[in-house]
Amino acid sequence: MSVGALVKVAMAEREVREKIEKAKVEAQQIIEKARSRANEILKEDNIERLKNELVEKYRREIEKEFSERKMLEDEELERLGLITDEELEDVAEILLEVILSE
Amino acid sequence: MSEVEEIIREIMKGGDRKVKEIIEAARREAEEIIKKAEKDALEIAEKEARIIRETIANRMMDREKRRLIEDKVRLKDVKIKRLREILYEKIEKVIGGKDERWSYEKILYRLLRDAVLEIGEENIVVSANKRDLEFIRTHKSELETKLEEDVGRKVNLSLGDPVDITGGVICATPSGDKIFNASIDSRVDEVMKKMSAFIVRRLGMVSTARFRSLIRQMFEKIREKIKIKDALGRSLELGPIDSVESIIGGETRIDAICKESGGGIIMVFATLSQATKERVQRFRESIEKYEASVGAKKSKTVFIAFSGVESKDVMDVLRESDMYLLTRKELIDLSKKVGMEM
Repeated sequence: MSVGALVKVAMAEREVREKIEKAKVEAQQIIEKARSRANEILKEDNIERLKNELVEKYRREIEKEFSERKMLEDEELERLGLITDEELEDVAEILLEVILSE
Repeated sequence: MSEVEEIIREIMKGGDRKVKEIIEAARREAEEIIKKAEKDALEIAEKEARIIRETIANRMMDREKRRLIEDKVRLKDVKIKRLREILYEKIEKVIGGKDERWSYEKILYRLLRDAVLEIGEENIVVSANKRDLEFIRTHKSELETKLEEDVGRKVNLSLGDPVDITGGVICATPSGDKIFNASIDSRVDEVMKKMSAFIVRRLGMVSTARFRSLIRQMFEKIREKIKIKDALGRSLELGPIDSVESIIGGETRIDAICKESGGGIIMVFATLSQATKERVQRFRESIEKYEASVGAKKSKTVFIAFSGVESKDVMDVLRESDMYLLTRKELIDLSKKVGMEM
């Protein structure tokens, strides 16, 4: 290989080294940025925001669960309100029989 | 391309690859760092949120429970009080001789005899209300003779003070060491206490969970084919039933899925309240979902509404939907047929 060729190769190698060095710096910056973002994520106000979102989600779930339960419980209450004198008469008649029989 | 150019190209290519690798590795690491932070943040938030969730749930549960218990107790008390009123009206009719099925004189004698037997002494002091005391006073020797025959020993009755009772007697020994309350009022209390389970069941004063469980038990007891009339006057054939299950949760509610020996499937919706258009619609949608998920077809649908129907329109909806309707009356009939007290 001629001296000229060797110089060209050496220059190319230097260029590559520089690129790699640059990439390493860029990589470090990417990681630093991520660390900084991670710190942001772990900050109290962000956790507070996340917590509030979760509490809201849980509240909706609980309300849904309760509305289903309430619907069933309301049926019980509705029933109590719907008991008629006629139905009470029927039961009273059965009780009378027991009370007055031997 | 010359040999040197080829070498340089390879060097550059290798360099580019290395750069790419470095950047990609950094991006991956950055992604991991952020993901971990997000996971940690969520864990901390979830831990705190769960504590709040429990507090909210407990608070809501307490509020709901209190509301339900207060309302239920209040309504139950009102109905039981009314039941007692009706019962006492009937008793007064019997005592006043306005109910031909009963002879109050016979009832009074029986209560007196029970008290005498229970005390087991010869001398008995009888207390009753003024009207019954007067009857006992005017029929004293006649009663003593009959008692002697029935209890097999001599009985001396003496009249005690008038007491404020509806009917019957309260007997005691002269020393007061033995007392037996054979008053109608005491019988009413005793029977109402003894039959409290029957009363709450018969009047549908049970919880929804208990009601559903009773319905499932009733269908499980159908061991042979049963024919009944539904509340819309249609003939309904049920059973024999092999197994009963239920699906409740989310948007789906089928209170009993009864598998008949012949392969038929009876879908049952059971409410303590009334049949309403909304409930019928919900039942219809639940059946559709069930059929789509299981791939099985219902053979009959039964809508159980303990308190009847909200309006005539609902009856039309039930007819159009080909749903049989069972109300309190039909349920009592069905429970008798399967040998279960409802």
